[in-house]
Amino acid sequence: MDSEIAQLVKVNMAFHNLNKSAEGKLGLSLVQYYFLVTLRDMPGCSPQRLATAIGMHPSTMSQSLKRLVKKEAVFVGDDPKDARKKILSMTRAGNHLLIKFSRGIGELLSTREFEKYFIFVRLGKG
Amino acid sequence: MKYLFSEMGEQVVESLSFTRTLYAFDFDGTLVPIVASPELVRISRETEKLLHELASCAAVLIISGRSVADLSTHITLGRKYLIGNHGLEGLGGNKETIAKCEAVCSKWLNQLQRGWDALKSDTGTFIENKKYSLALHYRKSRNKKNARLELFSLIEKLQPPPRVILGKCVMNLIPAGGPHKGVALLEAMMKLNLKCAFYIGDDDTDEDVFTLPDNRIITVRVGRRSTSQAQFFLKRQSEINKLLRNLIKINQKSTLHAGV
Repeated sequence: MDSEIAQLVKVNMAFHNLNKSAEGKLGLSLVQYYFLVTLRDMPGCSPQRLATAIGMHPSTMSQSLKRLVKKEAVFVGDDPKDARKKILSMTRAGNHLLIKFSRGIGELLSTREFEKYFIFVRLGKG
Repeated sequence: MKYLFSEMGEQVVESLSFTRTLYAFDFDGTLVPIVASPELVRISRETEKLLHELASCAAVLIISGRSVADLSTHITLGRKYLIGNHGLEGLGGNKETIAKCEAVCSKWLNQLQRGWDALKSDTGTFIENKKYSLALHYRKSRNKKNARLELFSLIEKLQPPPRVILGKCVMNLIPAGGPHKGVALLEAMMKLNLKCAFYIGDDDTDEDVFTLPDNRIITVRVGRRSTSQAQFFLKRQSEINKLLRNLIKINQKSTLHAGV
């Protein structure tokens, strides 16, 4: 059991490192990438709806959302039908980040550290 | 409802160009101004040119209550871009349903023509036979309120009872089981394998699209109306060319095919 837990911790750390490297080199973490890809196909949706689509709790999502708004990748506006609610849409800057990420993630995943743990991840490799 | 050419409206419209989007337009009152008689409509050269340009870089459809045959006499875009009779024509629908609608409409036409001569109103009312649906126009009537009431009294006697969609000085009679514009839009999205849609219309028949509980569809009404379910509005029909230019610009700039 201990060795399995140790493996899990190593995977978790590798994931953490991958996230950090991705955000540093490609401008988006894996979660932010997934957030943007989902939002791309749901323009003008509410944060709650996006959270459901991503499978994340809305309060957890709000941190990612804040970071993406800071990067000007996401635009937050008032819902045209209900001013109490907000809607989200991806910006052109967000689309550029998505393209950059898609082109670079394959290379990042193929480095020795990540390949070891993410051999099952085919993201960016077609 | 928010103005489409506001910061938020433009952001949302721009975000549509990042995914596979269907741009769908109503015809009367949206692409062309409303005129006294439906056969008098003329699409401006500029609007038509812009539509062709948009169709070359994005998926475009015109969804109208008119028949496809009628629409194609007013627009050179080609039949594959046209959906007529509120969705009954142009999507390769069920032949049985189409034949049933045609039979029902011809029955209604007979029933209406019998009662038509007895109408007390002036001569401003007329029936438009669209083969699979009927439209009773009263735009030219001098007393529109009376004409409307008299038409309602005729409609309530029709057998089988129609689905009535009220428009601008027109009553659309659609056979039960026939689709509406909302259904047509969803079906077109599915057939064309598109992820999102942008729809603009001006009439009550377009509310069938505006009320769809689907986050993938951005809806715009020509003319602001507080009771409309559309998300955005254009102030007037003459803004359509500005919108088309914007859509062309964002879709030409789009990096949709950059391999994301």
